[in-house]
Amino acid sequence: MSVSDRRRILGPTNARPIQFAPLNEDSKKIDTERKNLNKSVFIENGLVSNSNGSSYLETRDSNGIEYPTLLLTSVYGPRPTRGSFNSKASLTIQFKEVTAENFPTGELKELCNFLTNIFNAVINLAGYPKSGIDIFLNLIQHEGPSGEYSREAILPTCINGITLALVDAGIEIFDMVSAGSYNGTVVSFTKNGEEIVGLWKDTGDVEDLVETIEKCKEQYYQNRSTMIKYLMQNKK
Amino acid sequence: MVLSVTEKAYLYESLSAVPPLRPDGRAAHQFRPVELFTDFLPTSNGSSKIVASDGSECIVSVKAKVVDHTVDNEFLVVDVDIAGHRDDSQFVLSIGSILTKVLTQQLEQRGLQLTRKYSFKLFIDVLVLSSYSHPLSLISFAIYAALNSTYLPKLISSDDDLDVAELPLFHDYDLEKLDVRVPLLFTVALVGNNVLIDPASNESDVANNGLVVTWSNGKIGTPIMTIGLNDDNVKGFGSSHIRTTLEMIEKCAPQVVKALDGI
Amino acid sequence: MSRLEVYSPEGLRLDGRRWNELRRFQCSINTHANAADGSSYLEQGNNKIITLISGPQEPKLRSQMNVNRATLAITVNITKFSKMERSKSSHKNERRVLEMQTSLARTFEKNVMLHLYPRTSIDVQVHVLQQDGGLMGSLINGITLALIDAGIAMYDYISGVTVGLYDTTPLLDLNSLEENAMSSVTLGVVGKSEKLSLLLVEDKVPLDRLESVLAIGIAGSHRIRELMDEELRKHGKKRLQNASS
Repeated sequence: MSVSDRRRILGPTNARPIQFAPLNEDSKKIDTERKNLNKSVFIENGLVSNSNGSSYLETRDSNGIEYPTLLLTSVYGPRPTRGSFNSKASLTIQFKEVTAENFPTGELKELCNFLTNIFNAVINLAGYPKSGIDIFLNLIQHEGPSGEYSREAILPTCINGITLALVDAGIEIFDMVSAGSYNGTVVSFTKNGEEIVGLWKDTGDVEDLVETIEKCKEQYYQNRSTMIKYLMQNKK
Repeated sequence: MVLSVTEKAYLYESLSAVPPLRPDGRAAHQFRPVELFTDFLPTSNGSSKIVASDGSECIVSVKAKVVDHTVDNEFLVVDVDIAGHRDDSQFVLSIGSILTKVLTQQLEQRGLQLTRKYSFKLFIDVLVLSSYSHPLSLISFAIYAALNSTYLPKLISSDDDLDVAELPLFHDYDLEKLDVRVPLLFTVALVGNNVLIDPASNESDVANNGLVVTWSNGKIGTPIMTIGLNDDNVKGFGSSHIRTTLEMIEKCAPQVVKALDGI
Repeated sequence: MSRLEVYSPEGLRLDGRRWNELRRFQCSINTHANAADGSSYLEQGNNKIITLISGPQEPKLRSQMNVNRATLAITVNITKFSKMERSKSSHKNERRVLEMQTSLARTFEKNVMLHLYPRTSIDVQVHVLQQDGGLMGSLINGITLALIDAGIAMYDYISGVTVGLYDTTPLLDLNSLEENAMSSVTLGVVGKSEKLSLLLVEDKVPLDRLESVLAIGIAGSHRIRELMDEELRKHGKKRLQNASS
């Protein structure tokens, strides 16, 4: 932050933070074995009792390599907004890392912007005039590939989480929206994969974009059917 | 200007016609005229000012500082200030984040390295005086012009200082041109089945969705992402839109680069 | 103190001016016709300032509305790159800047006929692209020009200048090197009169020397008023020609 820390002695100017050596192979093996035991996606709706709807997701990365992501989503609203008249509801999405801060603020805001744009297209905003819908994402844990924290890895989970929370809140959506990620690209679909509502490609080649979109679509089908299955099983 | 529901419906219909009828008479792949000035701030190493025909204006300053890159390996800082928006608003921060990411990805730190210990760190300050449509593309043009007119002091001391503690020494007045390949960002609006480049503010208001496409090193690069141009007309789009967008950018971008290089 | 010779025995200053000479003064109005209702670009020495005015317009918030007169809001944006060395922090909420904004608003509130525009707000945005001393004076000049361009009724020009006192010699229109080396006074003079709408004294100035300082300051401000007037008339003539042809 802009305010420099003047209370502590920060050491010499060329001081560097300590770095830990990578884990040795043995401990890694046990780790993966333990993770292999619970491979399935865990979904639980309605954990946050004071919200209008919420979802809790535990997923592994869709490439099949294990990095569990724990995400809690809560939806507040539609609630009345003060001030000027709006014929459509206004949507805000906020993202927070609960346990560790791995992403710079700017990147998170970019992520929120992206998600807001997706759900602006999916929620029936015209059905809720003069109101606001607020969505809060809490990332409890995320372990990226090789210790890196990539936004591509958590984006599909975020989208799935918000969709489930919206369903739990009973807010009208046009369709179940979900996403798939492949090769650093995240594509979010609706309407049985016919429509794209979000495209995010931060790195990699553009040549095979069409093929990437197809791969993402496969995962979209998978994610969507998992969500629908869960919702059908747990319907009240 | 705020459009009424009827005006929006009319505009949407004409923009989604084949071929699209844009209010200012442009073709789908046509940009609005811009005015570009460079090198008007003597206290900065490079500067540019870009004015779009609707009065959107953006000023970019590039300042360089010598830093010890063994301690501080961040070689680029992009700071965005948009008049009328708070510095910590989602809009400003996400534009800053996109620009930082794309510039650090594409520019090479090697070009800024002076000695084995010291290198230049670039501070790119963006000031958007006024903007009516999404300013990302305009900012990227301004950054392109500013970085391509940046001159840095010429090093005259030795470039191997790992063993001898020596501060880099510069020539009194000789400057060297910064040699970088700067990426460009293009925004397109998706309306109906049409793809419109460089959407004006009224076109952005009715667009179904927006896409940002990066152009670097003579080809389409990353990031490519959807971007919200408005809050209440957002809809999904087909993969054919993406194909059309990429084709359009491939056709337009070399001409834009040529025009920007001609300054 | 500075090791540089601020004022040589021959009567020359650091940049070669004499004690009573202004810096290069260049201005233009209506520079951002599409972006604002009134605008000006001002170069005073190495100060480069863009002023944008929007208004009189409907206030953004109800609370800003005054039924008797317009509300004048002035925002000064000193960019991070405005000095030789880039500043790390943004100057937006700095106390010095907030104080500048208030004193500018007070300077102009008396001079603009705000009662003619009830229930409106006039928003002034000043962007400092480059600064080299005597900033306050330049800001006043920039705002005056932009207000005139916006067609907002005023009683008269306000022109501003900074005067320093070096030993016993008053020096007109200080640059940043001089400003750091001596105590200074900023004036805002109303038109051709000797009325002051701003007198900013942030340093110690001996009372018996103040009169000579003010005298040269007022003379300098009158000269700046003339220069602005010249430019405005030139601009007006050009506009008139364009309109009639």
